[in-house]
Amino acid sequence: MRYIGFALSLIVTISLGVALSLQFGSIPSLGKLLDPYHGFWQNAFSEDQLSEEEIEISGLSEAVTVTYDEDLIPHIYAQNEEDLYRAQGYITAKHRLWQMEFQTMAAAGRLSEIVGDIALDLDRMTRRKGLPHAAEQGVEFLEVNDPETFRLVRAYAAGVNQYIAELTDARLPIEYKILNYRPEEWSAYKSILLLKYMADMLVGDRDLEYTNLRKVLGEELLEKLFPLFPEENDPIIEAGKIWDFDPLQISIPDSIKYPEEDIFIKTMIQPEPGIGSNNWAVAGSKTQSGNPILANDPHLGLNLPSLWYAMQLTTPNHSVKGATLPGALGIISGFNENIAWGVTNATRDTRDWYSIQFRKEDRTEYLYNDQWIQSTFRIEEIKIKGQPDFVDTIVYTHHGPIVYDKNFRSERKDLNFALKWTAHLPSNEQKTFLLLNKGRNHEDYIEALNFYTSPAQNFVFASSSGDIALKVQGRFPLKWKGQGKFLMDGNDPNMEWREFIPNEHNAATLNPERGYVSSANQHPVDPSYPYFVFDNSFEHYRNRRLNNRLSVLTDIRIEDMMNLQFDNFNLHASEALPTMLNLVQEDSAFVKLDGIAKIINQLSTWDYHTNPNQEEATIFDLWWMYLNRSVWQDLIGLKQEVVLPNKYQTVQLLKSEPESNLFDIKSTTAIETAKYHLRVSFDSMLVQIENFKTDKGNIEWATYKNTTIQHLVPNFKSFSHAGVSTGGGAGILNATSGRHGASWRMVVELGKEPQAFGIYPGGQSGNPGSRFYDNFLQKWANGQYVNFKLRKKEDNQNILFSTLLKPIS
Amino acid sequence: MIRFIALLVFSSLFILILGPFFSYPIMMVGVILLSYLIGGNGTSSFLAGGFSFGLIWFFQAVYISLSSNSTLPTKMAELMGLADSNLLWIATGVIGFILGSFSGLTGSLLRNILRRKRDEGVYRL
Repeated sequence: MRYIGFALSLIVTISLGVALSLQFGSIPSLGKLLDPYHGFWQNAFSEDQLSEEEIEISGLSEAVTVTYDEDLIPHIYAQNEEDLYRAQGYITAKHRLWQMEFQTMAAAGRLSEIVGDIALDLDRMTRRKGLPHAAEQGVEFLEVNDPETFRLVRAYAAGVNQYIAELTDARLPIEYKILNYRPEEWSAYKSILLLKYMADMLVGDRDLEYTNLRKVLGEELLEKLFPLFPEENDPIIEAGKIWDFDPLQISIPDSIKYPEEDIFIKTMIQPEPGIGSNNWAVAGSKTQSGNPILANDPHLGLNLPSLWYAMQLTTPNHSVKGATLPGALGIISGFNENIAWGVTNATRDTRDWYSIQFRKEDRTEYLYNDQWIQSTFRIEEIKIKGQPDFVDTIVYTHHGPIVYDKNFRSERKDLNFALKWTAHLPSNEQKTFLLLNKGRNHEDYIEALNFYTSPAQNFVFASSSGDIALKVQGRFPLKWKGQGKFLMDGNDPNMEWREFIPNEHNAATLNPERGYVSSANQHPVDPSYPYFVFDNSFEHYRNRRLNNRLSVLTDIRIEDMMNLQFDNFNLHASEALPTMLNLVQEDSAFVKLDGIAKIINQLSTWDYHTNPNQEEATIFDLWWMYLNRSVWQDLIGLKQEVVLPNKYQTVQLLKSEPESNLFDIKSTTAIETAKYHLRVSFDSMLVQIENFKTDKGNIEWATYKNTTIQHLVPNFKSFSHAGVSTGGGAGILNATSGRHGASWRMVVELGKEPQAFGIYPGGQSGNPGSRFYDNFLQKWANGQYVNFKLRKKEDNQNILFSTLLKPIS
Repeated sequence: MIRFIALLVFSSLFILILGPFFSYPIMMVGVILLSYLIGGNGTSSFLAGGFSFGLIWFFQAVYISLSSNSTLPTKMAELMGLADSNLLWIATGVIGFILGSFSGLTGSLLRNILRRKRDEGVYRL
């Protein structure tokens, strides 16, 4: 009996110990999590409560000082670059390890390892797009072609790895504890993968949707609804710019034969409409101080931990400060004593699709130039948490990987679409940022940009010597007019990319007469640019609002630039609403109906601003959403995926052709015009407004758009912030919509000593338990900034704590 | 009673001092050994092991909450579907009690077996 009692007690004890250390489905291991010495309780401490005076770091050649200011922004003072980037890796990992690893897991198509088969489709897509393969080639390219940069990237990785090696259970970021896994070793590959991840986030294409549209609409109507240049083109490089180069020649092939296919595949997720960025620089001639001022606010997904991590990096030769991307070396958007720079996405169709014909079912040979060419295979083993591995075979052609085939998103149809993308090219984007960090003048800036391939960016520039500049930089294929707009025949050599536009021919400007340079993801050039430039997602409103303001502003101060970043004027509404109201008011009986007059009156007196407490912005947004849905309902109802005309073209159509047969709904016998759609959408809007009032209590803009800064694991809702009260919206300079917006705002005035301010929606810490996790958020929502002035090592004001990183003796 | 208090005190000190350095399964083994060495009966070992483990975990959780002034307990409570973050203190204490109590009981029962065996051996001689 005694033995049975002991055996039972032992079994229960062991079972409890084991069971409480295991994860069951979505329930984390409770024993590990609640253990107050190693579990989540240990993540309740903020960084200043855990500060260390000295840390020994292997591989350092000399001591490095890290001084944290009151906002936990580290200022790293090293004696040489290798020590600097080793320390950057260590310090970044200390505050953002989980995030940097999670992002590279996403970029590598390995999320299923962490969250299970819910991410399998996404992982397959990531791998089929060829990002991990491209990063592997990127490492080889760097090792062979730029050993100096490779050495620095490895030093950064060693810094990260030292932090991982000394990481105790108590200090493990909380996400690892909840999801029950541990960090793995960092490598140069992961840093490069992170830059590929940025390309994936920022680059889209609609080639397959356009292919479907061409069949539905025909070429003529397609041209009308999707013109190459908008009527009011306000490009990045000032219109009328004289191009000082002899362009490469390329002509349209004599006969273009596109594959005639109805494409029913579920195409990949595209960058969110309205996502983009602003940057500009004003010359000293327009500023109060006589110094140039530069501003940058990249609009991306609003996430926690924040995408950006602020830092100052200093050696005896340079001192640079701004926003870093955890996982990448150096400052990405920032300034040093001599120059400042910032980036916006240079949207351009750099992703093309080819329909591939294979000889046999085994897909070992494919047709190119009427000859059978050998294909290659890449076996992708995807680990899935709690399940057997999934094996995906990806066929590679010389165009690129086959993304869609009978095994993936084609509903078993025998199609094979290969993807060609500049992100697959070997490249060295890291070098660009390392050189910019040390740059002293315009020549250094141009030299740095020559290494940059993808994702193409509009690099704005200003220098303490008074120069302002902007260059659209990326590796752009030299295309004949129309090339790459639709799915192309992989057999036809005429459809191939042959050459690339030389860097010197990329659109750029230096000290233009108008006294400012700017970009907001719009069309980069006017029609005089000698190369074919196409994309589906060019911006049409933020750019014109920005340039309108910059052209009239004089005696500009830093505060004016901050106000411009926070500008809530809705240009789209100001251009569309008068026409919408006029057309709907033509029906006098309708206008007199109960409740309608009040709404119309409210809209008629709106100042077109989108401040948090304004109701008109909500009313207009809903009305426009239903109007757009109503006008394009025939296209929306198609079984194939298509792209809709953008809101600028829809407004043009409303204004200039309200009776056009484009407004007619084909499935009805009546002839509909714009007025019909305005009426029905107005009714839908009224219903929705009443529903929303009942549900949420008011229809104020901030309540309606519900700006949410979401944790990278969306299920971790308590680590997110929903309902942030702030203005703006998609297509507005303050482009803060529900889930996207200014992920980083920076304003820098160059001069003898640069004055700089920055902010982002989050905080320096990646730990949800830290007081520095989200301490910037309210300031960001209010349009306030943190002082980003360069600090000297001996400055001792507003220091939170300092840590000395010592070489191991 | 003496053995109960002895196990309670020694286990508490053991968890308090070595808890930061070792994971909880190792602390469970420690409580089993302490219980075995002190040799209380099943009930007192069960309760002493449970209270020492549970109370230390409970007070450590309370101490961290108060000293860090962090919002993390509230966030974690929400994530775990608990209405009140104070329930996390209790949950931590209860889990600690369960781990400690069965460890204490196991140590006591182990001693019971080995002691009887030894006694039987002596009798045979």
